Parts: sequence; C-alpha cells; structure tokens
Amino acid sequence: MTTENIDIKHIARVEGHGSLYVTTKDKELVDVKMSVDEGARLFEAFLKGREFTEVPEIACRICAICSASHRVVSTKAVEKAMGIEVNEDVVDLRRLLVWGEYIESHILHALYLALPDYIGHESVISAAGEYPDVVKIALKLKKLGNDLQILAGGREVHQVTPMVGGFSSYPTKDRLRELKQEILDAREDLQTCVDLWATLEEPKFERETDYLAIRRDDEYALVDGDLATLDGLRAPVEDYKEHIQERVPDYSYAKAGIRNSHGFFVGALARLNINEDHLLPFARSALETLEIDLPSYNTFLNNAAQLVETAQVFEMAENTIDKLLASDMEWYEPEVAPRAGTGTHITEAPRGTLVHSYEFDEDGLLTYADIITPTAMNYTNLEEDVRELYPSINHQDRSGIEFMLNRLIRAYDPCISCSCHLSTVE
Amino acid sequence: MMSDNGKPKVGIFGLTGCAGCQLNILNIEDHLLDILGLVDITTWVMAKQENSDGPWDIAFIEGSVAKESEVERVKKIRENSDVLIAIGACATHGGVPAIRNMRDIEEMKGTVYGAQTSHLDVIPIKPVSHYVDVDAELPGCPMDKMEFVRAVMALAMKKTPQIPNYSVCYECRVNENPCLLDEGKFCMGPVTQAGCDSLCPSYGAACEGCRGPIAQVNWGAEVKILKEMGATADQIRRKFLKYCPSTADMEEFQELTL
Repeated sequence: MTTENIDIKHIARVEGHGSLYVTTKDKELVDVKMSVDEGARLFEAFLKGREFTEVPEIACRICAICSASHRVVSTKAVEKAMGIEVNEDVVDLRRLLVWGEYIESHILHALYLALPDYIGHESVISAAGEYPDVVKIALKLKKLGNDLQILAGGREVHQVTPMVGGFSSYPTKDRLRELKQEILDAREDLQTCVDLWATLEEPKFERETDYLAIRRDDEYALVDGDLATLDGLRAPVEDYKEHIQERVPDYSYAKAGIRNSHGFFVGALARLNINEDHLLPFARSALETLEIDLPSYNTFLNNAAQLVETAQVFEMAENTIDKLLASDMEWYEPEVAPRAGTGTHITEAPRGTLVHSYEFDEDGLLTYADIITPTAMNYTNLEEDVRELYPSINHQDRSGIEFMLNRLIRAYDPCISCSCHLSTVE
Repeated sequence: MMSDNGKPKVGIFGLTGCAGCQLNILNIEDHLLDILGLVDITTWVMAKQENSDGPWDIAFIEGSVAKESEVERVKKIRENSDVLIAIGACATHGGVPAIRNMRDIEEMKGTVYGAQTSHLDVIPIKPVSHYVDVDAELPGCPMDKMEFVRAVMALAMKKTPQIPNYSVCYECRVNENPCLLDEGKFCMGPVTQAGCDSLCPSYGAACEGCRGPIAQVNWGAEVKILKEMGATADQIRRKFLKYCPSTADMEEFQELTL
C-alpha cells in the first residue's frame, strides 16, 4: 500500500488563498479536502449595528471582482427592507453597472487566468511574448468592462455612486452614446477571442449535478429573478433557505453549499444550462462557434461559457443604453427613511448566485445578515468533481495530475476571498 | 539582487482582504505592459502559476494581518525584501474588517460559525506596519491605481513614493466641486489624506475617509461641524473608524470627546 498526498498549497491564478489536499492509496483516491486559507473577516457579524445606508458600501468590500454585484444585491435587499421603490432609469443604470462587471470579470478569468493553461503558459505575463495580439485584445476588452463600471459607478472597484434609493451622480447621454459605440466596435475583438477559443482543446470530463441560477420569463436573468434549477425548480428568492443549505465539513469550519444532500453548481455554465432560451443573437452565434451543446455537464466548459455570456452582456448593454437614451432620464431622489424590516435579494454575480439577506431595527440599524457567495455554494460540488475526475487522470505523473486539478479548480472561477464565511483549521 | 535582465525583482502579496488592490494592478490596462517592462514580477500568486520564494527588491502587500499565520508570513516577506510597500486601507490602516476589533470577538465568531469556533485562527486585525517596518504606504479602499503607477516609477528610480500631506478638501477646491458639507452630507474630506483626486466628492458622494487621517489632523473641528449638522456621537465614531480602525489607537483620537 502506498499512501500519497497530492497537496496543492495556495492555488495560483485565483482570487484569494485556497489549497487542495488529496489523499490517495495505491493510486486510488481516498480523501479530498478543499481548504480556504483566507483569514475570517466576519462580515455578517461586524455589519451589525451599521446604518442601512452604509451597509451596501461596506458589504461590497467582501469581494473586489464582484464588488458591483455585491453593491447592487445589497442595495436591493436594503431597499426591500425599507420599502423603498426606485424608478426604471435607476434600475437600468444598475444593470449597466453589472453588465460592465460581467465583461471585466469574465475577460479577466477566461483570458488572463484560464487561457494560459490551454496554451502552455504559466501566466498571461509569460503569454504576452508569444501571443501579444491576444493579450492586447484582452486588455482592451477588460478596460471596456471597467469603463462601463466607471460610467455607472464612478470607479471600477468598490463603486462610489450607487446609493440606497439611487445614485449620487448620473452619466450624461453623450457618454452613454460613446460607450455604446465602444461596445459595438469591440464586437470584432470579442469575436476574435471566441474564434481563438474554438480552436482550443477542452478536457473531456462530464458529471451531471444540480445546476442552480436565477431565472425570469422575459430575459436572461442576471440581476433579478426567481431561484431556478435545471431540473425545473422555480421558487421566490425569499425561500432560499429551503433550496440552498450549508454544511459544516468536520475538517474545517468552512460552510459549504449543499442541495438534496450533495453539491450543486452555480456560475456561467449553470446560467447557460437554465436560461439558454433567452440568449440573444450574438451570444447564440458564440455558442455555436464554440460548439457547446446545452445542457452541458462538463465543468471545464465554464470558461467558454463565460465568453458566451460576455457576448450576451454586450448585446444586453447595447439594449439597456438604447433604453436609457430614449428615456427622459429625470432622476429623482426617493424618500430614504429608516424603518424596521427584513429584505432578501438574490442576484447572479459573474461567478454565480449570490444571496444577501438582512434584518433591521426601527432605527435602520442592521441586526442580522446572511450572505452566501458563489464560491461557498460551489464548494461541495468542487470536491465532488475532484473525486470524479481523479480516476481518469491517475495514470499521469504527479505534475500532470496537479496540472489537471489546478485547471478543474480554476474552471470554477473561485473567488476565495469572497467566501466571506469560510475558514479552515490548519 | 536585480534579475539577470537588470530589472528589480518584484513580489505582490495578498493577506486577508478582498483582493481589490491586486485587481487594481490588473486594472491598469493602459500601462500594464509598460509596467511589466520596468520590473520583473517573480511572485504574484493571483496572476502566476510559477512563483519564487524571494528575495525581492520590492514587495507590495495588500490586505490586513488577520490571523497568526499571517504574522509569520509578513515577517518573512519583510526579511526577504529590500523595500516593502503596504497597499490599500487593509494593509495601511486595518480596513473595514478591522471594525470587528471594537466588538466582542467570541460573540462575533459565534454569529458566523455557530458553536464550534475554538479552532478558528482569528486575531485582532492590524495593518502591516503593526508587525514590520514599511518603507511606504499607498492608502485607499482600494489603492488608487495611478498612485501605484507613480510609485513603481519612483521605486524603479530608487526613490520613495510621495503621498500628499494635505486634505481631500484641497483637491475638491482644485476640481471646483461644491462643498458637500454645505449640502448637509457628512463628508470626511477635511480630515482625510488626499491623493485620490477627491474622487467620491467629485461624484457627489461624501468622502468616507478611506485614505486615513492627514498629518496634524484637526479632528476636533470636524467633530464640531458634524455635530452641528446633526450627527450623533455614534455616527461620528462609525465614520471616523470605518476604513481606518487603527486610527482609534492614535493619541489624538483617544483625546477626542465625541
């Protein structure tokens, strides 16, 4: 009997600090432990006592890459609790902010963090020598996403303008027109990336699991919708605790998502699986170029799915800008007064489904917060995928096995600092 | 210990935080390739698979020291670096998560993790300078990316990055912004270190003080203004310590009567 540990300490090219511990005996997998090494920040606890107006500003600091999604979902949860209604232009500007984040985040992950694995480089920095054109396109597209976030939110990380009830300042129609033209001009660059990706070889791997996302009847749901699964669940977001459970693995204090006593997948691939019928023409053509058959059960295709979604978001952003340009854009300031209440909102951050649920006292001070991030939801599924993948790669040498495990973890686009209530015993 | 190519060896590290300052380095799209040409990044786990254990000519650290094992880590980075720069509010002043230092930590652990919390490695959150000497600090939540570009250019010429020692109000004046205090917003501009080009007030949002207090800060005057505007002592304390909880350790702060 030979016991071997394959430990990947400090997984590279992901956000935050995580490790994977795999124990094998005679090449058979015995145990898998994904550990999150990020220090516990205790957001849900230290948010207590903060005023409702400042909760979204602080809560978005959970994660930098998804700060726009955290900001918007947190703001909506607060507004539900306070009974604040905002007008459609505010809703559209928030959507635009989130579309910007999708472009930035998906390009960052697919082209900076994942692509090096496919083309034999250790990083996008080393790839820049051999593929200068691709890297330049990646920089350009990522900047476009950031420009949209700046237009709507004032800054690309931890936006400054979104407020409970609206925004502290609004973009001009001229700037909106310019941005729309930039998005139209960038279609060609995005097409180049999709065409390049279609030439890459995807690892062969399939494991059917539960796929969860939000869904709505009229469009590809990214900001607002009901909870849905690929096998047909539709439920109001307020009932999330019935459908998304968390377990506490005995080897760590991590809370990990669980559904029907096993893991489930959230993220771009889950959204495509569940919301395919709402894809717009640009995204549909990307889907066809990439030859992705939906529903897909290959976790590795989450990378390519992010490119399809980028195309989808390009078109959604174009449409949202048109809608704003046609509106009279008369911003108003709704009444923002404290009251006691509860509010839950669930959104899709680029990496997957994101829950913020709050309670406030009559002074508008927070008394309870529950935040479940995509990385926490995917946690159990990721370990289950490692178990399933391992037998098909155990004939490889150690570096080959480690390479494939790294790729699998990266395909989840994990954001370990975003796992706000994960921690581990070292 | 320059690289063979004569460029300074750079390490970029993250402690506990949101990774926003590292992301802001990736966000320098217009200058990223130029910056990469100036230095040799030998360690950056967020962006590279192959990472050296040092030594480094320049180390940048984001995030705060939030657990015991990070104390060792930050000391090790210090030992192996010529120049160490703390980037972002978490690394320079503790950042928003350090708000928890002012609460009962056992109760907070229980709120998030339930009954079993004995194995959690949780210590009071401190900025990097609490444990090791730092050569410069680039404050802000997140660190301003253009300030980072200027710092790298200065460091490449073996100079120390300069941080303005005047308040955000000065930048607001230069930018001809209307004063938000006049509009009844609880703005921290008068007591906050400039360098962000008064970003938030320029968008009509009150300064929240994420870059920390300026030298020779007159907190008393700011407290008086906010009180006259109707802010309660609790609100003022929350404002003053939101991004920079380590400020609570400063003598001038402790002498304040809120």
